[in-house]
Amino acid sequence: MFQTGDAAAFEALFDKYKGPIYIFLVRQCGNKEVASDLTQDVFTKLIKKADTFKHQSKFSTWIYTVARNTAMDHARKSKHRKHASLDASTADDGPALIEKVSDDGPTPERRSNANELQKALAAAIEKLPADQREVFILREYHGMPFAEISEVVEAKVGTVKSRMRYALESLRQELHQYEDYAKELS
Amino acid sequence: MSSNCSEFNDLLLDLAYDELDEVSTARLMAHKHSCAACGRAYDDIMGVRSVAKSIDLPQIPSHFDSDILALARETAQTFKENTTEPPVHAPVNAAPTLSIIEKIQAFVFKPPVFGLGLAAAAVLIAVISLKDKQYSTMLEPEGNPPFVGATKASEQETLPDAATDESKDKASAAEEAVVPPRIQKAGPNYQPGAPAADADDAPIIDAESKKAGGGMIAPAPKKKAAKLEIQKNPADLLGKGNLAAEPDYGSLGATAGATPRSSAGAASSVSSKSSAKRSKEAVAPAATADMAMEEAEMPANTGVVDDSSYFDAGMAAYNRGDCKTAVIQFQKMLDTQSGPANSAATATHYIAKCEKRTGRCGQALISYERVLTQYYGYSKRDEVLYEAAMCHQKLGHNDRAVELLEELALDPQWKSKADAALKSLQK
Repeated sequence: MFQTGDAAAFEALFDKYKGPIYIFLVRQCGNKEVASDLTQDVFTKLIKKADTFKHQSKFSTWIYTVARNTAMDHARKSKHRKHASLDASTADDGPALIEKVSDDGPTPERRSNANELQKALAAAIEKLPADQREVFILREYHGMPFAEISEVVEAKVGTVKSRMRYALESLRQELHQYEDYAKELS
Repeated sequence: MSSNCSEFNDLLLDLAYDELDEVSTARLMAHKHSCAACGRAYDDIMGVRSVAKSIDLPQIPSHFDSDILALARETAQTFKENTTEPPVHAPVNAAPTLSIIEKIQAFVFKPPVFGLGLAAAAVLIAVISLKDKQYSTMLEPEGNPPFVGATKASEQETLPDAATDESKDKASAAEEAVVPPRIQKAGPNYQPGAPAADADDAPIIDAESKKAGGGMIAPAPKKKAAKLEIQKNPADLLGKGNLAAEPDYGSLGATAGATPRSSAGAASSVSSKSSAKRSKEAVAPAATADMAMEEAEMPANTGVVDDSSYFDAGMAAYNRGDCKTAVIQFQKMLDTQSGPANSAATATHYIAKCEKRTGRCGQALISYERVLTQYYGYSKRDEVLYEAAMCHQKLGHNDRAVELLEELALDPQWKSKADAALKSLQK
């Protein structure tokens, strides 16, 4: 009940959503540092606009909508929306974004293949049109149902699914050669 | 490709992402096995999904929490300071409408002028006290900011700790316990936890309301009460500008890790014994007095909190239908972080049940929602979902009620009941 001024409730919401929102924004803007700043902006807006949440939609829908709009505002302000590679890493935050390390100790060959797959996947996602990419990310990585995505991106469910189909088809063409390897990893 | 393919093709995405109901899933699976084209289309989707799953999630920077929480608290604090008036429908623990004098106080207690103002006020009060003791006595009630749980920013500045420790950062200040800022005086209308004003003049804080909801204000007998907005239905109202304030007694219902509060925690615990004790204290710092009262209400035979005494007492009271006592005991348990393992969720749930049982759905929802958001694995989550949905429905929050019932309907044992409630809502 963060709306009633409950700091503990806010922290609970923060704990629950900080990761997903950060991940979403990393993928939306392609830069970890920017994503970190934008995540702060999102939670700041969450506080300032607490009174605008009317329980008419799920809270998750609302906060993702705020996050998406924040990312779009940032993109507009930046004039050009340049998506850094998803596998780019910064000096202070450890391993590459999409580095995949197999639990059973990768052989050099497996590691090499994994890295190659990660890069290919990152590149393929990056190449997607923005509207397809956000739908794909929300559905695939955030587990958001299509109906909820349609609220976040303000499009009809049919449109959302259509974008998803295009996104999947583009990714399939880009990543077809890695399919077997991915199954082996998972 | 069969004639059904166009129909099923549209559903392949839903199937791949598990968004189909059982019947449709069975139909589509049957079709998929008999139709090579649809089978391939489905496998293509799943192929991409298997590749996509291989991506690792970005790791949040280690300093992320402190950075954002500090910023969020600071923002909330700033925002709150900039909010001069509470919303029209103030939340339960919002500060009341300020009188002119209180607004002046609010200005004076802002950081830039607070130090100077404090010094000037101290000198002024000292002079007035010396010159005209009677005038000083008359002035005091009017100058007391009413206390209704959470404070406004200006009121926080009047807290002893905040006022004397300038180095305390805003993030910490946002979580300061709410303490009646002024000296309390005992009197015929004295209520523990009541606003720090003269007893004759003070709005009385309804003990149970304060405990459960954070400062419901009972009609006060005299002029001060007329200045306060009485919140009848807090759960559906918004806490604009209140986020930085420490949640009040009731809103702390399930804050298992919360620091025990002095004034707020003791507000509802009205016993004749402690009242008598308090009445002997002609003038005592409120926090100290409240702490003394808390001590008086500890289990009698020991100076140490028995791990399960509050919980057991709460359950016993609930079982005999004494909801008021039950709420007090459960809240004590939460405040002292005692109780059997994993009992915080249960205590919070029972606080909600008590409030609901006494017809206070708005208060109940504070605790119900807390259980739902903070104790996700609570064994009686289904029960909480249903009860909270009923409260939301009663208060007209139909969307939220539907949301909770839809989650409840996922449980086969509750499905029929949830569906019935949903149908009722739709009507």
